Amino acid sequence: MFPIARFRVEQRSMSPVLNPGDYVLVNRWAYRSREPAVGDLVVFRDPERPGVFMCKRVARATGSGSYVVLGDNEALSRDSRWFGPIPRSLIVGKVWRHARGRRAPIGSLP
Amino acid sequence: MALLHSLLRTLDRVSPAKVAYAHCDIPCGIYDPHHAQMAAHTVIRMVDLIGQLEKPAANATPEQRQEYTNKLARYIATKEQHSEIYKTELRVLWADYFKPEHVQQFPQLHDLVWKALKSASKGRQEINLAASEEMLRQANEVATIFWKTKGVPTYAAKSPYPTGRETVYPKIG
Repeated sequence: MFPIARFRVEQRSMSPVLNPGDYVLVNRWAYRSREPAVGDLVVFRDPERPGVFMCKRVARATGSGSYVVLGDNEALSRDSRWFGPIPRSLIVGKVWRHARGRRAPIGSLP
Repeated sequence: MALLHSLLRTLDRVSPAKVAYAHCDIPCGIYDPHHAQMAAHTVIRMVDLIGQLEKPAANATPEQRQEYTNKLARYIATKEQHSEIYKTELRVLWADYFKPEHVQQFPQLHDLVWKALKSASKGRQEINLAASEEMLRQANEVATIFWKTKGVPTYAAKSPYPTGRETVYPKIG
């Protein structure tokens, strides 16, 4: 398995760190030798929708191999407050590099 | 990082990256066409106010010109904002609320929303009373359909705002 996976970010729950159109490179081997840490940006499989990936920040470990993941932009985030802690097996990896896209202006013409 | 982004975007064209959602579409079920109707009223009102605004005379002082420009700029800014609110609200109803079965029941829905968005662009770009009235008429049509899908009867009445135009309201309770 190749250690690096590419993802394009959609939606705004991780704004202003990640914005729609940004790319992230994910290290799939990051958690081979250590546990996900609080504050890590992770890409994981949506626990409610097969085949859908999400990107959030680890807020805490529950101790039983599950992690609470939250969006930075809480008002706009569907995260562990909605679907509960996610099992570690759903975590694809840790965000290793982040490439920002150009910002679209808010309320562009017309 | 711009270079990395360009590189990844190019790579994306060859082999598309998977999407990681930083999701915000909580299906909250709270929708109402009233916001779009209100926004249309606001645009009508701004067109009225711009029309009523007295243009500075040839011998107007710099202060008078400044006051005129300030008022005009504020009316235009509000017209811009509320045209955009109108478009956003209609898009949310269209994309998030209405379901395929609603479109089967009301086959005119796609065309109606599309034309309403076009009216809003016109209402935004121009000082155009007809376009802003069209915005309201189309928002009323969307409201009629919206409330029908909810099984809520509607009635049309003159709005209590200075714009006074006919508006579709739900008959609740």
